[in-house]
This record gives sequence, structure tokens and C-alpha cells, in this order.
Amino acid sequence: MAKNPILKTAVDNIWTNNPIFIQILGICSTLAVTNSMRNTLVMTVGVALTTAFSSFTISLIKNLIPKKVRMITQVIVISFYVIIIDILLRAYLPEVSKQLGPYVGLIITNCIIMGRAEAFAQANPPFISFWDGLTSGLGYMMVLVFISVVRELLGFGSLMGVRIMPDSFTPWTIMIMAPSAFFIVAMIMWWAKSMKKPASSGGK
Amino acid sequence: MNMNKDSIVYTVIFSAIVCLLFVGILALVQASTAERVAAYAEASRKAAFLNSLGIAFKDLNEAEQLFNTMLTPIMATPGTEKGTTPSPEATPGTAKSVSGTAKGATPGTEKSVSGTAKGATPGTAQTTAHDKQSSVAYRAVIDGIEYFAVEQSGPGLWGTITIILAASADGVIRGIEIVSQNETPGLGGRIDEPVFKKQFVGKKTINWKITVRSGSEASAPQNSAANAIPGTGTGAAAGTTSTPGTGTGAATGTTSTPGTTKSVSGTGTGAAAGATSTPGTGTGAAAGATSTPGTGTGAAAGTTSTPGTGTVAAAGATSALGVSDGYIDGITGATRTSKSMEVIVNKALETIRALIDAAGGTTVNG
Repeated sequence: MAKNPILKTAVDNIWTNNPIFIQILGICSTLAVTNSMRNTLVMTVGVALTTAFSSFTISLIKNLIPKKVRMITQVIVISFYVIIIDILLRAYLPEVSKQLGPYVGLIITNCIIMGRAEAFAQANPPFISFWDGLTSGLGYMMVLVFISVVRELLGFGSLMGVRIMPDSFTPWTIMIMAPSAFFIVAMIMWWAKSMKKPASSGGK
Repeated sequence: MNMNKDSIVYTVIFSAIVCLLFVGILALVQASTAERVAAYAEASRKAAFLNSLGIAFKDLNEAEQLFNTMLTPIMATPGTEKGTTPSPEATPGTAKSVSGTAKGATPGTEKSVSGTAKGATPGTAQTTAHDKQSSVAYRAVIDGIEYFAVEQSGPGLWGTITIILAASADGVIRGIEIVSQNETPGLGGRIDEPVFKKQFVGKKTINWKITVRSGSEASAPQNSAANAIPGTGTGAAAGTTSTPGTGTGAATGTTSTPGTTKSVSGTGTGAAAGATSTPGTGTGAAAGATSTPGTGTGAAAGTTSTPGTGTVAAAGATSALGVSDGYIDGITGATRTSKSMEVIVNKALETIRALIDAAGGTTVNG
């Protein structure tokens, strides 16, 4: 494993401890948004930024937070960032905001953000927490974008809304619906875990 | 000085400060951007009206100018206020749209009307607020043809869907624009995609109604308009103002009334009449606008009518309808939203029809 803590955090979050196929967090949004690649990109960028900033803030005030209200304070910080992103988008990038629709608000419910705040930011200094949040978001993004490519291509015959498949292609309606994400996530987990087997048995 | 971090006092003070701080910043940001947001909402609403009318514009500034020059708000006169309520099946939503136009004219009715609107469609409070400055119905003349555009809200699967629909006086849809919707992203939310909205452009309505096909219906092409509107049983259907005869009765041309139906009609089991009549089934008889259905089975009269010999008889303008007239393909996998759209669009059409009637124009069946 890499010695550099910055590199280690990144590798951990993107591969060894990926939020989707190892921690199994953020599955609700995985099911919901991945039938369109554009929506997926937007949602995952939002999650990555929110995780980074909220981890940073929570790490900054972690010594002031009383134990009893630890989690509720985390929730306040997370929703603060999500709402501020929403407000700023609506005011300064209204076109983007219209496209995102309800997605921005949904970021609050993503388990990854809370998970990183609780597991990492509570015990680490601010900047590495920021980095941890950002890379967690990237690990999430990678998997979701892959799923969305499969789903949009087979479900609509398009990518980013541009038609790719020939006209004779019959769209797979199942790919548009949430259950298909279950199959694909499961297959990714299967693949990732079988890839890891030799490494983990030798490493530890 | 060194307070115990886990004491109640500290916890309470800490929580209060954190809440005040974060919520305070949010409130500040919200307040400082509220004007921008409202301005954009108003501008995009105007742009939506232009879109529905098929008027091209480069940016929101140009949209604002075009909106002010090309669109005229429709004001109904107090006398026609009641008359404009389109039909018995008119819903509160329709009433709202119609009455919105009457506001300037009859202040007395304003209160009761907006009350209805509120009860009918929660979440449109913002729209209602718009009514203060702007009407919900506009008239525009493009290339010499008069179009009407109305804003219409109705319940979707998850929330209120607000659309703007534009149509000409002959019942042909000019275009549609979705102002707001909260449908499932990627499913019902696709009503906002060009592929869906484009279907409405130039779409002929049937009796000012459209049908949104969904699921298996959508993939099965309708071979003829005759199949689409079957006559019911032994009944018959007729033109604009006539009432369909039921039972063994029959209906006649455009001026007939329920009272006369019986006397005029023959004793055949089904008859269809008038320019836009729908086919009667069974032993039907079809008649032209001025003709009287004969008695017995399979009898037809009038100059342009076709005898209804077999199972289906079609007359007049109905035969001129194309394959897909009055039909819109719904969103695959979003049956409920598709059906909601059908209801909302038909409400909007009803409103436009009422506006045209109120303006003294003649409604032509399409």
C-alpha cells in the first residue's frame, strides 16, 4: 500500500474501499439516477463537492462538537452545503439548475457524505478530510458513470441524450427501470471482488 | 472557564449557535439572490409562452421584447364570465385559467375564483401570484393566423405539472411547453424532452381532445380514425352542439338538440351524423349535416353522407382525419404521468375552446 497518506486515501476511496462496491453506500441514488448519463454526472459531481466541503467543515469544528449532538450537527453542515449549492445554481446558473431538477436536494440523503463525516472527518485534520471527501465522491462517480453508460445505451440507445444505437435497435425497457441497476451493481461487485482476491490474500 | 463539553448547557449553547450560524448564512444568501431567481422565473415563463407558440428567440432579453410585442393578454367581459365555463366536466383547474383572464374586468369575482384555484392545485400559489400582473391566457397572431396560449396546471404523479399550450381556432395544437413538473427523473420527467413535446406541434385534435397512448397502446398503430372513436353500442354521435342519441335513438346534424333527437331520428339501432360524427357501429346509418336519418337499418341520407352498411359508418370530415390525429405517444414506462398529461392538455384545450367561444368566434371541430 502506498505510504503517502494523500495517495493512500485516494486509492482507498476509489478502489480498496470503494463506497459503492465495498461499503455498499449510496445505493438509493445509484438506482435512481443512473438511467441517464448526464444526470449521473451532475449528481455525482454534486455529491463529490458536498462530501469534500462538509468533511472539511466538520473536521474543522470536530473538537467543539459535543458527543450528544454529533450526528445532528453533521446533518446541519451537510444540508447547509447542499442548500447553498441549490440556491447558487438557481440564481447564477438557472439553466443548469432546471436540468438538475430534484437531484440537488437528493444529495442530502446520500449515505456516503454522512459516512465520510463520521468515519474520517471526525478523526482527521481538515485538509486531508477534504481530500478524503473528494476522492470518495470520485469513487462513487466512477461506478455510477459506468452503470449509466450501460443503462442509457441499452435502455434508450443513446449516450448523453445523443442517439448511438442504430434505429433497428430495440431498447431494453428493464434498463430504464430501477431493478436493472441492482443487476449491474451486483455484477460490478462480483468483478471487483474477484479482482481483489489475490491482492488481499497476499497483502495481509 | 473551561466548560465541560458534554454538559447540557454547553450542548444547548453549541447547538443554538451552530443552527443560527448556518441557517443565518442560508437565509442571507437566499434573500440576496431572491430577486434574480424571481426575475429568471418570470423571464422563463414568458419564454415558455413563446416556445409554445413556436416563436423563435435568441435569449431571454429578446424573449421579453417579443413577448411584449406579439402577445396580447385576453380579457373576458363580465357578461361572458359564466358562459366561458366550457362544459359540465370543466374542472376547477379550468375555471382558474378562464377566470384569470377575467380578473381585470370583474374584481368582485376575483376572490372566489382564486380560492378555487388554490384548493384545486396546491403548489401553484406562485402561479396565482403571477396573475396579479399577468393573465394566464394570451392571444397572438403569427403569419396571419390567430393562436391562443393558456397556462394550465394539473396533478401529475408526484406533484403539480404546469404546462402552456397553444392552439389555433380550428383546434390544431401549435405547441406545448412544460413550465414546471416534479415527475420521476428519467421516467415521467421525460415529458420535458423535445422528443415528447415535438409530437404536439401541428397536432390536430379530435373534438378538442387528444389521447395519450401509453404502454402497449403506443406501439400499436391506429389504422384509422374510425377505429379510434368507436360508436358506443347502439348509440350514435354527432356534431358540435348536438347530443348523442342513446339507446335506439340517433343523432343528427349540427343544430339538433336532445329534444329533437327522438323525433327526427329513425328507429335504426345506430346512426351517426354531422361533419365530425363518429362512426356508429352495428347497423348504423350515417347522414350529412342537414339530412335526417332514415328508419330501419343501414339507411343514410343527405348529400355527402355515406350509407352505413357494415359495421362502421363514417361521414363528412371524419374521413379526412389522418392516421395519428388526436394521438400522442406517451412516455415508455411512465403510464401515470402520460395519462396526467392527457388530462392537463385536454383541460387546456377546453379552456382555449371556451376563450374562442367567449370571443364570439366559431369553434370548428377538427
